[in-house]
Amino acid sequence: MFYVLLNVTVEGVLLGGLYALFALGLSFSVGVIKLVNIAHGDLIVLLSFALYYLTQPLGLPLPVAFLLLLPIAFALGYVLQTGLLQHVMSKGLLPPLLVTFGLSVIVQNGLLEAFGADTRSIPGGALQTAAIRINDQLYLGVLPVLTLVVAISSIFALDLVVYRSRFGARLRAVADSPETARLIGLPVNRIYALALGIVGATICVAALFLGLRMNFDPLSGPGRLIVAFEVIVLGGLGNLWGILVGAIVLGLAQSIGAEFDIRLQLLAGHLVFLLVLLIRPQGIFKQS
Amino acid sequence: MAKAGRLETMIELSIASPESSQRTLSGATETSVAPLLNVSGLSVSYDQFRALSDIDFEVGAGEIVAVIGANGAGKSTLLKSLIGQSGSMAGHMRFGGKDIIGQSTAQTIATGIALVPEGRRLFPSLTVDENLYLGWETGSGKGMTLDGLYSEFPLLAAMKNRRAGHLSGGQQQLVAFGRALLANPKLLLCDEISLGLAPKIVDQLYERIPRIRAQGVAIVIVEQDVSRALRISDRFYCLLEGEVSLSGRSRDTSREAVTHAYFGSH
Repeated sequence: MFYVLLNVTVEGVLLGGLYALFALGLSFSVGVIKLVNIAHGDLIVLLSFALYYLTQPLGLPLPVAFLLLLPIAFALGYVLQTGLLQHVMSKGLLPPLLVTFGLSVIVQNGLLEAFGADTRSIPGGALQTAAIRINDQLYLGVLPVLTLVVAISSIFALDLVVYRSRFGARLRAVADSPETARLIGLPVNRIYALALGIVGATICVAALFLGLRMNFDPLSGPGRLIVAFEVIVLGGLGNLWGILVGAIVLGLAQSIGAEFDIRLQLLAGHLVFLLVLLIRPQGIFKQS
Repeated sequence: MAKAGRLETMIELSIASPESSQRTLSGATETSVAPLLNVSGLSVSYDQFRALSDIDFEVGAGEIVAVIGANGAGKSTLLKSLIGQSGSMAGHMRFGGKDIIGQSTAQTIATGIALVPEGRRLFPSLTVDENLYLGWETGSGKGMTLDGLYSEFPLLAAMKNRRAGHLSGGQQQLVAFGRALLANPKLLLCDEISLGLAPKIVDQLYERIPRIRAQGVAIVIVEQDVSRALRISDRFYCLLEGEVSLSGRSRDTSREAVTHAYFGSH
């Protein structure tokens, strides 16, 4: 009984690592740019397909494919902001929302055209099955542990950028008030674009682990978006370390639900989300 | 092009208003060199609303100029248009011999105009130090540094690690002042710096003004308190419904003339 409980807990915490990666970019774009990106999940899936394409038909080693895609993902975010979102941001909150909704439809259908509706995954070789033996009752999957470690490192790195760097001061200034930032001559549009570039990079990391750990198809995006949303609401909007807590709470709820009945996995997550929303609408951590 | 346009506005002006001799360039006769800032025929509109029409405005190097007028007369719009932050603009604007109309705010600030905005407008979640750093970073990069400012204003140094949102109004105003000074302006624009502050703190702030001027910085002051504005300034402009209703030397002006220009002849 003890090991069942321990296994469920460990599984939930490790699943939280993956969910934190899904949520990181969305939290950043909501927190800094005030952009609710409906296409967030689809962009993760898009980059998972890109990694799939680079490693499978093209045969590049996965680390090479990832390092190749990372700067491209940054550029993609940058261009998405300067070429598209920037032009609708001054028109209120709704137009950017609708534009990203449209983007979501385009990405899904583009992927369907290009790759068909088949389910894919990115083969990770030995990494996918490797496990660390704690004892006969408890094994830790290397890949899930790696996911959690990468999630924590990514949050730590973003935290450094946002709170300890000069660029971070610009980011927070723009997040506080873009009007005031313009008044003192800060290049607001460029700061937004760089912020979305950072979001692009985090999406690339999320895409790598999504592809390695789960099956995905062109319509998987909205499911990832819901997870990301629930995580950032649970953790408190715009709170970086809150993401980790929110993600682990969601992961735990799902793994406990799945222990009773595998069909309860997603439902349990949503129920806990609604419960927290009811009791603490400001999130587990209050926004600072 | 620029000359022809300016000539047109001058002609328009002289046709439009018989008292134009009083309205135009009262500083021009006093300063033999070209003024630091020369604005002529400036009009600013927001959609259908015309906030400023045909403004002529000058500031000489090291001069203190007050802009007075009732609420909605266009004082803040004038200051914002000087740093490229207002609606659509027409007219001419030269600063230090350079055309600055249509320039980005960043360029204008880098060439030497800084604004202390109405209501302080600090970044509340940033520390005082970070707020000040951003002011320095967006400025010309020459002259005063953060350390220089801290030694001149020990009060700022004492609160450099506190969040701007946690400061009192007077402290915030001091930070807003410091932030503008760190941009190393040749022209400092002060928009309603006394708004919402205790009279004692306002006095302390105004004591700084002559000291800043002593460093060769010209200052434009927008102020609700007309007598204070006239006391501290060399010259003044009174705005009424988006137009200059009166301008001249501050100490030569009669109270009646200012009252008339301030409220209009209703």
